[in-house]
Amino acid sequence: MKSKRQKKPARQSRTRSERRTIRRNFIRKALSIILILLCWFPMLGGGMQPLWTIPAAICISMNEDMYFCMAAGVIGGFGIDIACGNPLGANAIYLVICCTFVCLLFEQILRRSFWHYLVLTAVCAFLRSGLVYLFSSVLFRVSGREVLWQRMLLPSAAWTAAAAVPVYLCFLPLSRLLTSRVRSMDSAAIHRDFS
Amino acid sequence: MNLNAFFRSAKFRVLLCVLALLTGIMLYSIRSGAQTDRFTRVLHAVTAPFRHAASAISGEVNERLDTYYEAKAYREENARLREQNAILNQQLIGYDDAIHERDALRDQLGIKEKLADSVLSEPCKVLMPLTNDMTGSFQIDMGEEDGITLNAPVICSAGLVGVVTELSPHYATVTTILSPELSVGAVVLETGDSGIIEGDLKYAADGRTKMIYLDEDSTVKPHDLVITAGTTGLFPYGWPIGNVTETGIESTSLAQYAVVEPTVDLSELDTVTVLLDFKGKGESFGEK
Repeated sequence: MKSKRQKKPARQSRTRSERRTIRRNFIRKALSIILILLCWFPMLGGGMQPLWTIPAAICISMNEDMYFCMAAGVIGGFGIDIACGNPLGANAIYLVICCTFVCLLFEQILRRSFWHYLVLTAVCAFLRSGLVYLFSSVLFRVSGREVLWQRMLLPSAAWTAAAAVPVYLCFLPLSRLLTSRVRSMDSAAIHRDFS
Repeated sequence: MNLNAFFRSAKFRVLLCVLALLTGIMLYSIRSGAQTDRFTRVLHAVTAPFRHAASAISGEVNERLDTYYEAKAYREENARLREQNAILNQQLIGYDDAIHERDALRDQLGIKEKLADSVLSEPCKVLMPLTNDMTGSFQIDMGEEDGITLNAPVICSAGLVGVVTELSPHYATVTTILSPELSVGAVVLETGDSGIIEGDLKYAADGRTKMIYLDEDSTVKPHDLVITAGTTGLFPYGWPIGNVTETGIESTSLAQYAVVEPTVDLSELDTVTVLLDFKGKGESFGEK
């Protein structure tokens, strides 16, 4: 039986390549956070707006590990809560679940492509509008709720889906320049095939 | 990694922890009601410079874009205003009479006297309209520490804007009279009919609100002026709310309703004033 107080093996110094990968990952994640904050910025203008942080969080979920996806979901969700005057955390819960789900999809089933990203962003945006409609109007039988759906929630979701295109173009250089050659999906596939 | 492995992994437990934490924050936020909770306060404090900057930039950009995109609308409006100007010129003959009538109405309303007894806040800047909100609710740059109180009426020179519904130390959220969440006792100046101003999303989309519970035999007609009734002690008496644009009978009852166009253009607000104290505040009709 092994002793519990075994000495840990001496920490091996990282190779140059590993150090570079860590540095790149750090820069990429820091820039991703900055970009999601920049996406939140125009949402403070008021009026009917696309919810820019939804495509940004989904785009991050496409390329990053799950923990970072959750963080992106929390930041993006809080951004929507502040801009729309919703109770703090309501959209964050939704976006964390969406981001985790999207991350799992891209890890397990889907290939990383723009069209998949676009469809998933649209699904998230329309689903959010549906939930807002349900919880803010339908359950309370608010008079004139159909106008809220037609004039505010539906166009907002459509604009959010459309906003996926410029957001993708903003995040594209990050994933192209600062991601390791072997991506997580490919590494998972290699691990699955050879283990 | 299959899905079963995911449900057993540390990632799934972390996800559950994050969701539990966020649910806690949300419930705390909802429980705090109108008083902004600590998390939101911290976030507001941290994001304040961004919101100020975003407000300034979006205002500037909107103004510039508006000039180009709305050029056609402005041209049409210009033509309409020219026609209106011609009609008004025709009506100038009765101008003096109108002035006398206006003074009489003002005296009748007693607005000046009431304002003399009122305590007004400093002019508050409209900081940030809420995104994707049909009722035009917005935040102002003054809060609890500037003497703003919850449920205080918010006005501007043209009339009633809304009510303070959420407070934090340096910010306050104003819910406008277009919102279904707000009820204001109102009276039609010309006929004396009383009712309740309560927003309806159907009309809020066009920047209008609704006056409900009017008598079945009410003679309210378009262009009539609706003012605050001041019977609940929440609003001063005689503050303009809007003009009636159409009337009708409620489908669910025999009461009449009137659609009211606010005298204030809520989409063009830059500054507002909070009415901190006024004659009759807190006195409901029965207590007077």
